[in-house]
Amino acid sequence: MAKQYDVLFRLLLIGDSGVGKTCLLCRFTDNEFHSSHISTIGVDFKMKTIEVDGIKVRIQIWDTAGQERYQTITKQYYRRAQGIFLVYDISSERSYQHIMKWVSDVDEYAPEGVQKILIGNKADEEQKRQVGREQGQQLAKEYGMDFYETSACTNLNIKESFTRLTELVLQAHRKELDGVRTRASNEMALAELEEDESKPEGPANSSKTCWC
Amino acid sequence: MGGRVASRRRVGQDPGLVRGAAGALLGGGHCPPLPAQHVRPVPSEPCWALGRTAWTGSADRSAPTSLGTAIRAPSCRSCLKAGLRAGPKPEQPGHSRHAFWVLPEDRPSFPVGPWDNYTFAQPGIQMKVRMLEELVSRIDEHVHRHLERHEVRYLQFAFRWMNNLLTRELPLRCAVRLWDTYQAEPEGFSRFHLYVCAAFLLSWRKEILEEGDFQELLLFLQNLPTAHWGDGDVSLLLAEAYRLKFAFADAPSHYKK
Repeated sequence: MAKQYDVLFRLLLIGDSGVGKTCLLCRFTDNEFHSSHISTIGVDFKMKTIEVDGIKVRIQIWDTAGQERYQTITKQYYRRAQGIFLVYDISSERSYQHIMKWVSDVDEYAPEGVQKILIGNKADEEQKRQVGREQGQQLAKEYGMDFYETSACTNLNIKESFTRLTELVLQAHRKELDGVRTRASNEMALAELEEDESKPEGPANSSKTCWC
Repeated sequence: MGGRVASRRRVGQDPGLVRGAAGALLGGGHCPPLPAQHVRPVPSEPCWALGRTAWTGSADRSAPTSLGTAIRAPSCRSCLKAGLRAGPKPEQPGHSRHAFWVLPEDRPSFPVGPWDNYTFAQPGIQMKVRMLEELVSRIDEHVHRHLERHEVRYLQFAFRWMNNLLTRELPLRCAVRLWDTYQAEPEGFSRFHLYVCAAFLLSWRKEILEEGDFQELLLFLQNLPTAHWGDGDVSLLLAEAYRLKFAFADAPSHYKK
């Protein structure tokens, strides 16, 4: 069976409880939205394959519980992540302020070179807004991250933000991917070379091949 | 669910109580006493929110996660933060997640050791997941190896089973039926649930073995198709759990490799 994807990346969603991490994910993978809140226990898992720059990327997305008591469980997933969404709720100043704490967790537990992106979710709740768009942009700039205001409810910027993070991860790993490609082509060249070298040996060699 | 009124359970003062809790968590009331270095002396300040003695002092973070740590680590930060260490104050509102678990004394079947389940790092839940892993490896090595081979960790799916006592996995009518049995069964919530979880996992044996990919396996295990389940399915599950309990509960080395 042909492989359904070229590369596989692990992305992680983190942020305070109730900011809409699970809703973002459901909107992205299943195009569904449920307004009732049911808290994630431990870690949930979903996946989707998208195409970026002609490369089929399968993304595994780990949706973590925001509540503090689960954090020893959820931190175990940082280590293997290549991209991280830091999510806050634009109608909750508190969740925005906690981004600092989430960033320091990432610095401590995630591998170096992990790609991060800042998300201000619930952008549709304009009348309840407590965090300005500029504040989000400012914070993202401070940490050198990209920033999106999203709404899982109205499907605003969902696909864009997931694709963007995937692109960033892809860029960060481009060198490795190229390395893999180069190595693969080198091996092929080497094989060809060996084949060439073996030719002069003539019939003896070819009969040997037959025995194999 | 219970009530805060009932929260003032008898407060134990001696390390024997800690051993009792360990025994219950390990699935047996006749657990041998723990080595002395694993037992933290229980301070005298009662944590009324927990309905029992609180562990004060800082948790030893450098200690390895072992049985000993699991038992002594929960210094219940939330309670300490809320200033609940200053002795019994029945008029002060309790901590909801603890109050939820505080049940009258005449309900011995309710989890023994909830303070380990719903406190920081939830060592009680983690230990139960490890117990499930150990049990499944003895009951059905084939399934266990299959999960291992595909790098599926029990914590990735069974954490929720232990944390929510299967209420997220089963339709409400089935969860009610299940909990009804837990109430009737001695140590239903704390002990019998483990065998129910093992029976539950193994009821999907065929599907699990057919999946040969980490992602498909985990997606399946996190979203088990139980929407159509009814009384009959729960009865079967319980019957199998009883069978496992009789075969394995009092035989910790049964089929052990």
